[in-house]
Amino acid sequence: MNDIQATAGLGTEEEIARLREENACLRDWQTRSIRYIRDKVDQLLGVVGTCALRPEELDDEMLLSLDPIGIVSLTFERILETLRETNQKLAMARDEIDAIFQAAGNGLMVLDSQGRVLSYNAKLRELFLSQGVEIVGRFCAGLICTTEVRNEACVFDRVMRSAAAAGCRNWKLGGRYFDVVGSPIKNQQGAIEQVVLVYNDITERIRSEQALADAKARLATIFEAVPAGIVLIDAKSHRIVDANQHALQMLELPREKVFGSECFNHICTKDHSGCPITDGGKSIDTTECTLEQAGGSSVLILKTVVPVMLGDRRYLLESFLDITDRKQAEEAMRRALAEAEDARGKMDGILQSVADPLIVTDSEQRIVLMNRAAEELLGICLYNSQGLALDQALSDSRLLEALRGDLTEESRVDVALPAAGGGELIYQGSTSPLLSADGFLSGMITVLRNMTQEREIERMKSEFVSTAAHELQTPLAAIIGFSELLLNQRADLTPELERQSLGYIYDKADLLSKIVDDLLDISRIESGRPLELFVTECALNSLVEQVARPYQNRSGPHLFKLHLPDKVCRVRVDRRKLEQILDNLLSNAYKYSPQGGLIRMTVQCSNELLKVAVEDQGIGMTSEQRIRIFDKFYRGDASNTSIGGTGLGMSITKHFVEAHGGRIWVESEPGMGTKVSFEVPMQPKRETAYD
Amino acid sequence: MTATPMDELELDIRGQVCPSTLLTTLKEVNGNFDRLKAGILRMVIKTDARDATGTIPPMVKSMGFAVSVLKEQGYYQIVIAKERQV
Repeated sequence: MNDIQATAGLGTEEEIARLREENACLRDWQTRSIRYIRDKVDQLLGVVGTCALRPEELDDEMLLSLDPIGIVSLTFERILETLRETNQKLAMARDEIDAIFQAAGNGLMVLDSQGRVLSYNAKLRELFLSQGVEIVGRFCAGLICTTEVRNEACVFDRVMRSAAAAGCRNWKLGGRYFDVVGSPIKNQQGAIEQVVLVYNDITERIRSEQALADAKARLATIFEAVPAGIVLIDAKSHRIVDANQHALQMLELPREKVFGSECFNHICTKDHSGCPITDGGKSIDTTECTLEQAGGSSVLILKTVVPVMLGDRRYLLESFLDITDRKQAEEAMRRALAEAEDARGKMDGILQSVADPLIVTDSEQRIVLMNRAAEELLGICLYNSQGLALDQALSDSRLLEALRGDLTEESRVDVALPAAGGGELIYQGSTSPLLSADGFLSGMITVLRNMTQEREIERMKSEFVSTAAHELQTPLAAIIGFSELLLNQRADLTPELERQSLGYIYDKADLLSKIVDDLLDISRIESGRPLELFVTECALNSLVEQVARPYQNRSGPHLFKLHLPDKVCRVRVDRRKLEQILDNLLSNAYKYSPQGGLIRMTVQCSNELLKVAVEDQGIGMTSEQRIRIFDKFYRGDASNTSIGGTGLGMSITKHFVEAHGGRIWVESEPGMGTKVSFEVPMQPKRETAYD
Repeated sequence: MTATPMDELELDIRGQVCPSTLLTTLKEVNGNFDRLKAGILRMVIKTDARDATGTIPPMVKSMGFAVSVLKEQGYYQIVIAKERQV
């Protein structure tokens, strides 16, 4: 404008001409600017793929005000910004995909359309590639699979042929199994540019499936082979859903008749109130019940019901055994046990009734049985010693040695054991072999018999024989001697000497008669028969005087005093036996009294009792002698043969006193003399003979 | 998930033809770019120019928006938003 004012001083025409020219220039400039803008806008619109901007659609003024270049360029800025963001996201996505690619649990490999390896992940290297081997850029054929396998099932080839995803299941390579899936990556034209191969190692799954199949086969085999009926029952409906062959055989029904039927139609048909099946298997139980066979028979079974879960459904597994044979065997066993128990009871009774100690040992010399007598003798009890070896149970070495030494055959051995009250007891151990049913030695039976008394009796009998022989020999020698004298020299004898000789013969024969009487008396006593009393009423004093007279008249070193009752007593006794009692007591007092010793006989009587005491001042007796004085054949000092006697007198005396209902006792100390007293009723309680 | 309150801007450019429909639309999109990108605005373009349905959507998609085209009676309705509108 300033230029226009500067030129205002020129001529108007010139100025107008100049202005026209200038205006023309401006219009030309504007036209060219507008054209330029339209060209650029059209170029921009061409870039975005739209048609050119027509002038009639947007006139120049609107074009300028609209500023399409500004609009499109701002749009492009926005697009570029969006593209940058998108690229960033794509880069992140690519990183994510790469991380996933490498971390994938399956082997992944990307091939180009020619089969060259473009990339692969770590798992694929782990599965197929050796350390240090690089396969990118190489053809995959022969790298992963062998040529044979490739020809057979190449997933890459199949993808390329079908232009679609393809797969191969249970592909076996090097002892391992794979599922291989191939997927094509196509370009916008639909041509395959890449193929992604996914290798899923299913070896463990295949092995697990095989193991599962094997287990199923084994289970099925067991299910069929087990010698018991097994049925699977639906817990809700109680219907049988499976059964093994053994169950079908026991039921005598085909499979189709059993499956679907209610179990109670066949098992526990009558009463199944307590059956675990009724409570859905909450209680696991083993019970005996019956199974009904199709043929109408009932079979006794032992059944067990346990709940099992198959999937999410509850079943009951019922197994059962035919126990008919077992029940019969149990019954037979029960009877056998009862019989054995009975036999054992009898045997135990027999064992206990044996008075002698009895021990049963096995072949290893361990204690099997013993009776009460053995327990008492050995000081042990069967409860604690059963099964123990003899040397563990017995402490007495003598008994142990005797028992162990003779346990292999039948034998007898004496062993001396200490008695509870002192001294020794003689036991005779008798062993007998115990043989089993097959004839082998299974043990020994040992009976310990207390032989102490028998041995003592044997000893006393031996002494008696010796003594009796001596006692018989002495008077017989005198009888024989005086008889010979009278036979051969009677003419030379004076009448007095002849009478004296005959007197000797009589006395000795009388002595022999008494000895024989004693023997007969002891024989009667030993026979166990009650003594016969021939009771008569006697004048006591005359009876005593008659017995005592020979001792009073006997010339010897002893003093004899007899004390009789003042009054007249009449007593009812067996006269001969009372005489024998008195004679025995006086005879003993004389035999065991020293020279000059006093022998006192005191006789007392009351209304009820007759009491007689004979006391001497002899050698007296020890306590043992005092206890045994009434034993038969016992002699206080058997070694002293100068004192005659058979050892039967005091035994016979005691029996005679007791036969009258009386009693006899002894008071004596060694060196202090002896007093023997007895008393009998004036009237015997038992009279076995006539008056 | 609570829906974000969304404004709607309607642009009725029926009567216009391409490429002015595209330029008009792009001008409005640029002017409301931030709100559209924040997801608090959606634009509804009404146009009876069939060519516009072939030019507007690609451009707007390139800018990162979701576009849908609905055929209405006598015109097209192009919906532009951050995410695809049903």
